[in-house]
Amino acid sequence: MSGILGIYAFDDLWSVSRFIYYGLMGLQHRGQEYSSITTWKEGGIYTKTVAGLVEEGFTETSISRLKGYVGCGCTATSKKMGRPLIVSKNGLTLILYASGGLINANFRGMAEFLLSKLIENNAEQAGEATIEKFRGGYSFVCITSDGRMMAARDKLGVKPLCIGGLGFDLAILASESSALDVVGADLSRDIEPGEVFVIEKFDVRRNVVNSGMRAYCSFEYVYYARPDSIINGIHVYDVRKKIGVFLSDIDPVDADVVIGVPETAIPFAMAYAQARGIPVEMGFYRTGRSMRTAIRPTEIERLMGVQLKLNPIRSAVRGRRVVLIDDSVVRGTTLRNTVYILRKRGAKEVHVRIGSPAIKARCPYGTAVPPEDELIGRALTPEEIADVIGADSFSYLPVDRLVEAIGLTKDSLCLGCFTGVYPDGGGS
Amino acid sequence: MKILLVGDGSREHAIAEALARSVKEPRIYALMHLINPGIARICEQSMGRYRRGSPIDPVQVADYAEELNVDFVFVGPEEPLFHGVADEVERRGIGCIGARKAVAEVEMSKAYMRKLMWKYEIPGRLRFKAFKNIEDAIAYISEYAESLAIKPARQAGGKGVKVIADMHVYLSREKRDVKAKHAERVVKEHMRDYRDVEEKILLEEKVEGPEYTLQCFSDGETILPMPLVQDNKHAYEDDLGPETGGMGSICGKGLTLPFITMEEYYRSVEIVRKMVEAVQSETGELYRGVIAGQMMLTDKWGPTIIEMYSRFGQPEGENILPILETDMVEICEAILERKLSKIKLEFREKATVVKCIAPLGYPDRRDLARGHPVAVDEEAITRRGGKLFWSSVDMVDGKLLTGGSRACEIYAEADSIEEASEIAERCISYVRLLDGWRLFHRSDIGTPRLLEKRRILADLVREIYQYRERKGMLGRSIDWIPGRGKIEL
Amino acid sequence: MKLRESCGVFGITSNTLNNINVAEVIFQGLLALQHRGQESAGISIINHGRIHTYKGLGLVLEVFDPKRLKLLDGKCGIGHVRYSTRGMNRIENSQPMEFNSTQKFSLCFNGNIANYGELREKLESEGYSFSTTSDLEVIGYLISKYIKKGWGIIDSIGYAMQELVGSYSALLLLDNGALIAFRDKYGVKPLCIGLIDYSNYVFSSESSALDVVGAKFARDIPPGTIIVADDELLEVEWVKCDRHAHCMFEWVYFSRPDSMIEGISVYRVRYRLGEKLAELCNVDADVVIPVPETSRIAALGFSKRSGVPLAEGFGVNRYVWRTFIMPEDRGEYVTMKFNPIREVLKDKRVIMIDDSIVRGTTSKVLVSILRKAGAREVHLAVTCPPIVSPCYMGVDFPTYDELIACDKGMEDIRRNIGADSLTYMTIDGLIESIGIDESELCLACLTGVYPMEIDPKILSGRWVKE
Repeated sequence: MSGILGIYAFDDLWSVSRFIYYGLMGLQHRGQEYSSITTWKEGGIYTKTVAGLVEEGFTETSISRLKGYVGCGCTATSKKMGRPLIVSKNGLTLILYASGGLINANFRGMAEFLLSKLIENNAEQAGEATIEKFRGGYSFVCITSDGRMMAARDKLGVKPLCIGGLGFDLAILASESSALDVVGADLSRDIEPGEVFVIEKFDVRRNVVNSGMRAYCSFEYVYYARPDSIINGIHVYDVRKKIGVFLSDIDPVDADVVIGVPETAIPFAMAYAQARGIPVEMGFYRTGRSMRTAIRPTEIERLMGVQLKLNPIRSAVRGRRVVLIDDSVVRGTTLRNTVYILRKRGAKEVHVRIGSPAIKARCPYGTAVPPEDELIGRALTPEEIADVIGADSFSYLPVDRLVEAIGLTKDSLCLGCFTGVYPDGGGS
Repeated sequence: MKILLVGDGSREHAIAEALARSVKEPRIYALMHLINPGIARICEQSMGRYRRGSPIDPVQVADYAEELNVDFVFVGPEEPLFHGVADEVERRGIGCIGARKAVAEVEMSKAYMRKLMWKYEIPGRLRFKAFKNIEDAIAYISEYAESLAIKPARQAGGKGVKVIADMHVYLSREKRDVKAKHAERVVKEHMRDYRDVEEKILLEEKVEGPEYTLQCFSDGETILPMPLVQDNKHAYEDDLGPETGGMGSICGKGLTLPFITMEEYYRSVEIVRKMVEAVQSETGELYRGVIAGQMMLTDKWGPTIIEMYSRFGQPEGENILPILETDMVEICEAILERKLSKIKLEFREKATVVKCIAPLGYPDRRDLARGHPVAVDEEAITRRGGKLFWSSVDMVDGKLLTGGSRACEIYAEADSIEEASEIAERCISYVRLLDGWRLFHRSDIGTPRLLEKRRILADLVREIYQYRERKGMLGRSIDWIPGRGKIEL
Repeated sequence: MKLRESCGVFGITSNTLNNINVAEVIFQGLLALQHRGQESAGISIINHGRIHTYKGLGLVLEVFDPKRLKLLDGKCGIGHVRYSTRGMNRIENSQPMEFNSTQKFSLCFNGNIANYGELREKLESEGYSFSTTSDLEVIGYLISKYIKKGWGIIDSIGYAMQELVGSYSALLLLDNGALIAFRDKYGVKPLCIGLIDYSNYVFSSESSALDVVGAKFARDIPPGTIIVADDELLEVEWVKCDRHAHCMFEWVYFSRPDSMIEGISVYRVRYRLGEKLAELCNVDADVVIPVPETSRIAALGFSKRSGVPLAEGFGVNRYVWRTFIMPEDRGEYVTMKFNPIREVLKDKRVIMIDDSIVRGTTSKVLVSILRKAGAREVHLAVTCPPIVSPCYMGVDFPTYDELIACDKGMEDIRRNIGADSLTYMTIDGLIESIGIDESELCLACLTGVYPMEIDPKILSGRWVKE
């Protein structure tokens, strides 16, 4: 998982590093292990990669030393995705940040291929050839040592990418529109699936490799994206609220209070509560900074993450029948801990509702889903899961209702992690 | 009848065509800096002539007009007006459509225009500060982190304007830095060659909203407004990229645009009328010619003046002139005789779209965009339902070379903006550069997506200014500064 | 006489590597670059904002011992092995050298400054006093000069680069902990960068030294580039130059076969040179033998292509030159170093593959050694085309009048050497074997056409080293 960002200033008076720095903060939820910024100006490339959050890793000095009016960066969960791919050939250097996953190659191979094509062709042809050749769910943004910026999205549009502008001065490409909002830019549109977007000194061009197919990642709506983002023209917050409404129809139980697991499940809980007329309460208070459990790298950190993070507020749950809403279940360990803590704080009943279908299969597009034999949703029925996590009841959102909540047709979404059916076969 | 047309752009091409349509069958003569093949052809077809010369030289223009013994002169662009071409032509006893130098200052000096608006309390005025030297401007910029428009204090061919929103404290330093550097550039580059205004830099409060242009004929007593046109200033699609002189414009059926109400239209007309009255009472001269308000629907005022034009907009003029049904020569004569009140302007009920085609390098590196040979299949364009207006090209020894700005424009009309846009789009590929240099244009102008975007923005702004109006707050800026109390400007 | 490379450089920054001794890593790297210079070795390390340098005459293993390396602990450092192209083999000429400007730095480089004399004079007139005869001092003082004028380090290096004519692949260690690499705009001498983990940068003359320390090769440093690596970030600035001039000798002779130079495997180039040579050499023979070590791979390619069996004709006494430091009599030196293997040579028609002929003395001795050992015929095939011009970029060639191919025809050279036949690689064959465009190579010693303008003063007279 990673979030990518590219900023091109049409006027070389601008220094973009601080814009990238803040823009990346708007993408920090997509990866907190590594952050990286690379900038360019005539005659220079400047790059820095840090372990940890953007805010922690980049100092005032490094931002001022990252010179230039063109730049890109990323936030990522792994070292592999978190550092720039730098390849050079025949005096041309390419610096690329990618998000997502390839099923028939790796990103370094893709960067090398793109570079070799850039030497022979114009940028959009090179990008087209790259998109044709490399299968998977990905988006990337790159800059070249001759000052071009390129971004593209895979043919199926699995991973999001959008473009916006800040006045007459900046063009901004980002995984999510939240990054645009942070720097005050206006969202223009989503980059289309299969689209190559090229910004050169005096020209902006685009080309689309049309596959006629769409497979937008449905998990973006459930979990990854920030609720204030607009992905593929759809407001994430609206989808999450609809999911909450739909959940309220499933296995309704009498309850006194609805609480959502912060941060992602809060809109689910609010909509659930509104629909059922049960009060919603702030059930947890968070300790420490916002860390997202599904994208923490190891099991140990995952457990630590929860315990450190979520402290139930006693009076909100004591003696009450609680509906606990979470966004997803992977191994079930997090949820078991959460239910256990709620019971210890006096909850009379705990009914768990999940805002997404059971995760049953791997993701070939870069999401670190654990091996299939570690997925509780694949191994156990909801009733069994309820017993394992110690809940009074446990239900998922059915796949069809998720599709309905997103508001797109089923065949334009990738639901691979729920169904095991991938839009392009998913590789082996 | 003989008319001398001054200027060589697409606007003058459209003016020439409108004049040539007249039942009076005038002979059109032209004085051009670059030889525009479209104007040249109209001159020839109307049994007139054209000459290469300097349109900004009043003596040259007046001499040529005398030599030809024309009935009147029509000045297309603003620079000849700023240089006093209208004054000189009229001094020789020849009628001139085009504002005199004194009244054209309403366009030439942006500071003058703003001062006038405040003095005569014309609605749609913005707070501004004009500076005579760069140090004061930079000192001001570094003290106040404000959302600003930084402009050359004189009309400089639409160049040198930078608008910077400064709303995010954490990015303020970067923005102040750019603002200061840009102010310096305005003085050093854009204002370098101009000595005719005192102020160098104008800082204006930044406003946001959909822009539109209202063009009017004026004879000093009556102003006759034309339908609204909207230009697109960003160089690239999706409203990205640097500011240009305009990459294309749209004009809806009827008087107004799909996202501007009739009430807003009339308010805009009122503002322009007041501007004409103000500049006339200030200078004691009549405003005769074309005047246009480059306007914006803002949350502060509703219709707001961004800049004034003392001529047709380019490309906005090209949206209007082809559908003008009233005889253009009659209008001109009415202006000269101050009988404009007797004219009823009529337009064909069509939506029009103009798309500009520019060589790479435009707008920031015109040196790169200049000198490329152009070829156009005009027949194919006509067959596809479009029309070609030549713009920045020069005919040298029978060859057409780009002049550095937008080379030409495709005009199309239909029952809706969207349809007109599609027609124009189909014609674009018939314009080529023969040396392999690339041309670019904006295919998104007039598409439903862009129109919808404009509508959403207009609705948002309208709600706010209407709320302000209900509270009696229209146009008022109220602030509270610790230690100084409440301040109203 | 054999050609000698000027130097090898190696440097590392460790931002996230804990518990490693940087000096030890540099030591390992220098060992891997030992073939590029055996006269002296040195290491500079940053420790708590201070630069510590230790250097000595001799091989890396002789100069450094484990105790010494422990003492040199730090976060970031550079190292150097040297063979003198200019400046005698004296300790004060060895590298890295420390310079005290407003900022302290330590500097080492590989290359040769062609306008050394001119720059030295100029700097002396500005009050700089020179204590060595090494070109490095000129580079160091030039950079100091601009630092003193108030320029930042990148600008200072950039200005110095504008004045320097010649070849340089240099590493500079700054007292604030930054490691800076810069390379002349023609890219004559190699320099590459590798990564350990994601933000520990390793610089080396050859990629083989990266492998040895476990760094991943990232790229060759583009000609005309300045790279600053520190715990903040990696800054890369460059000047554009369309004409590059990579020294072809790196592939032919200098570099280790396991290195990649400008992205091209040295091994593959040498193998292809052998194959091409086989196509050019039309003699019947019983055995192909290489002159160790460099020519082994070419001999392999030769044998494969020609079908003539490959054999080792010499036993090598590797350490002989260490016993007789710079012996006066070349013939004696060669005889002591190369011992013929009679069993292989007796009554055979032999093709001997050598990498290059400079003066011709070594070849002459080798041919006579082979004949004495019983070879029936001795044919000489050389992977480098005739060397006709001196080098001002850092290869230790003699002047015009000492180059055997400078004024002699092919037949004269053959007779002089005493071989039955002599086959040289062609220039086209060499370019093809390397596989990059001619415009990217420095072939000055083969063609007399220099990639940069050389002051006629240097060309006309005898180019004196001391």
